[in-house]
Amino acid sequence: MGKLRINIGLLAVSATLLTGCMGIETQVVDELQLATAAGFKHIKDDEIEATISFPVFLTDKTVKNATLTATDTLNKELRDRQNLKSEKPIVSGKLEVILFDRQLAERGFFDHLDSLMRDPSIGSKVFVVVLDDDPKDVLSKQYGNKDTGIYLSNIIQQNIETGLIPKTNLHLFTYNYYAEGKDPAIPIMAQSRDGVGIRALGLFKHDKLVHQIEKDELFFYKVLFDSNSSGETMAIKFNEDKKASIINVESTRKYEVLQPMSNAEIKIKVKAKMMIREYNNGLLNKDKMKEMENFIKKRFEEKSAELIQQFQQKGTDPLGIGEQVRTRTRNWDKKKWDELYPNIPITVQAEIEMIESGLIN
Amino acid sequence: MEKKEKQISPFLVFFLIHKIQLGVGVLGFQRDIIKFAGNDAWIIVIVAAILVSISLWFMYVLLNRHQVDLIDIHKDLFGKWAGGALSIIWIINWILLAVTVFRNYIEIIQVWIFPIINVGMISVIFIILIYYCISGGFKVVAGLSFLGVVIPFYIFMTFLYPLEYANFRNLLPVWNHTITEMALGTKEMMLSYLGFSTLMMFYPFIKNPTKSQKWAHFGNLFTMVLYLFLMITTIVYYSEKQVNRYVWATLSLWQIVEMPFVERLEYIGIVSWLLIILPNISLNIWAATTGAKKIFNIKSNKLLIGLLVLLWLFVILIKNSDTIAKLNQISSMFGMGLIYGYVPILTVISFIILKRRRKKDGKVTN
Repeated sequence: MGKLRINIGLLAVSATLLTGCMGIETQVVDELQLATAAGFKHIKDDEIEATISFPVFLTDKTVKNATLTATDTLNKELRDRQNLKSEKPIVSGKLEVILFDRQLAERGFFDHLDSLMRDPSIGSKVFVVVLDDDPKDVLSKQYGNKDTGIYLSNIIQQNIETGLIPKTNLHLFTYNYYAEGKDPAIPIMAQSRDGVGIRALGLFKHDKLVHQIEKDELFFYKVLFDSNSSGETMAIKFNEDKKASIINVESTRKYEVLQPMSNAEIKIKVKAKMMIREYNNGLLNKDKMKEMENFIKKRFEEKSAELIQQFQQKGTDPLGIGEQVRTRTRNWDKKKWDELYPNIPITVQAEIEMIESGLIN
Repeated sequence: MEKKEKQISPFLVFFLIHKIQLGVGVLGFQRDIIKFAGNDAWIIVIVAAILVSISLWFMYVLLNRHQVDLIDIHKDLFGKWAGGALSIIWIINWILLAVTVFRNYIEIIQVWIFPIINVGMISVIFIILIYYCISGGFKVVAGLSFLGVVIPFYIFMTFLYPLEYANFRNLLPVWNHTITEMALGTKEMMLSYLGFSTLMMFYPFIKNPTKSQKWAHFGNLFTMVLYLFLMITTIVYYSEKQVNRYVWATLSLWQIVEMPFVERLEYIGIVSWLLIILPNISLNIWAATTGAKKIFNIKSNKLLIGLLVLLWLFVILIKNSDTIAKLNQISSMFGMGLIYGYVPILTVISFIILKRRRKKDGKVTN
């Protein structure tokens, strides 16, 4: 036994020494360029221009935003070209946001996502965003004491958490891209006077941008989209000078599909509890509350129906109505559903309850 | 039966059976099953576990009757030469299983962590570790199986994170696939449960072996629970066509996990997985060595080194993912054939032969 121990000890020592010959690339954080955002812009045909932005940490503890741009046809080739210009090797382990310009989004960009999905160093939580402006332009600006990638990612993260836009990331995009009966929807961002902001929600058919939901329609979309949601806000106008702002406290959404895979009506039932945040039409009494409930109910039903009709016309299904049907029937047929979808009557029934009106009446 | 001090308590069979079943396949078993059975894949996990339990029952019937290991059963039933030849088939099977697990794990390291790692060198280090485990005897291997279940168990908790994005409607409608599709899926699923045939080697090392049967079934049940959990998580987290794109669906589940202290969990997970596969490989190699030692009457130590060198050669000679896929296919078909063809037949043959012998003996005494 003693001899065996010595043998094993020798082997263990040699094993530790062998680790040197393992051919492992060491990657020290200080000696890397950690890309935080990547923006892609369509140039012509297959050619794309890619810009990455990364933070440069200065000695006085401030962060400077820096970018590198290159043009090529393949995503990973772009990385190599950028590397040729870079002082330190670029790695994508800290990538937070991927931006595609509108032209690329309309042509379809799933091919470019391939290299991101294939790369184990990129997480599924990366945000995929359509940008209305030139990505190079947006990424090369610095907003506050941060690099632009983190800045953009914070904007999106914050808006998801407060409930203004639905959850979005690379995983959800690919989920919806591959799902039968559901299409992807991702935020569209654009430059404004104060920096960069979310402008709308872009709707996709396969991987092509076909339509968008504007800011003031997001409320309806969000309530319809999530089976349970809260935090969405909406401004309503009764007429020229009577206005109010409300917040959704708690809402539930249910589908009623009586005859799946047929032309029969599909009902979406929404029950929402809402609260008034701002009201400028004098005192708020019980009658006015009641009146408002009715008004919101009517408006909600109209607006939602309008939105869904737009989706049907464009042939995109961001709400996942197809998925609702698919999970309710045993004879699901993707092709047949695609034919049925534009013509199915889909109605929304809302039940609105005003539960609170703030500190004053 | 082995000497008392070399034996283990019956409840450790729980860990041994579970550990040998749950290896490296669990990191990417979903794709092949969902390909056939879609949202019903979770049913298949249960069906396959029941079939495995039946097979375990067959093994126990055989072993309880003979009270020795497979090599001795072969010798007893078919004589030294034919029995030895049959035993060699099983030894090849165990070596093949060890190679499969080992090479797949190395591949995962290559793809996920270090693309340009020196495969030969890293396998040498692992093999030294395996040698260390096996040279300590069966008790060390059993102890390692116990630790290999208990220590890395936290890893399974992290699979709760993806449920944030779960879409439970994906499980509906239940049973919308044909029996043929389900059967094909079950065949694929069975491969994930393989390896428990090593039971036929360590049976004599169990105290009160007949009592260990329930622990073996519990071990199998525990494996099923983990597979079921992962399968349901996969179905609700991915869409059906999406999961077909992911080679390691389980590992890709980790890509969504983000913790304050670590950006990417895969690195921790894959490294922890070493503790899960180490007892797995060790147990297979241990079974092969113990078997070979009995057949050829060679000193175990030299034979073990020989087998580990063979393992190492296999690992460095298999170079690309195509060959690895082929290896997986061969080893799984081989293992399946042995467990679902060979074992039941052997049980029947042993029943007939023993009955005849008893008759003869009876006549002699009369």
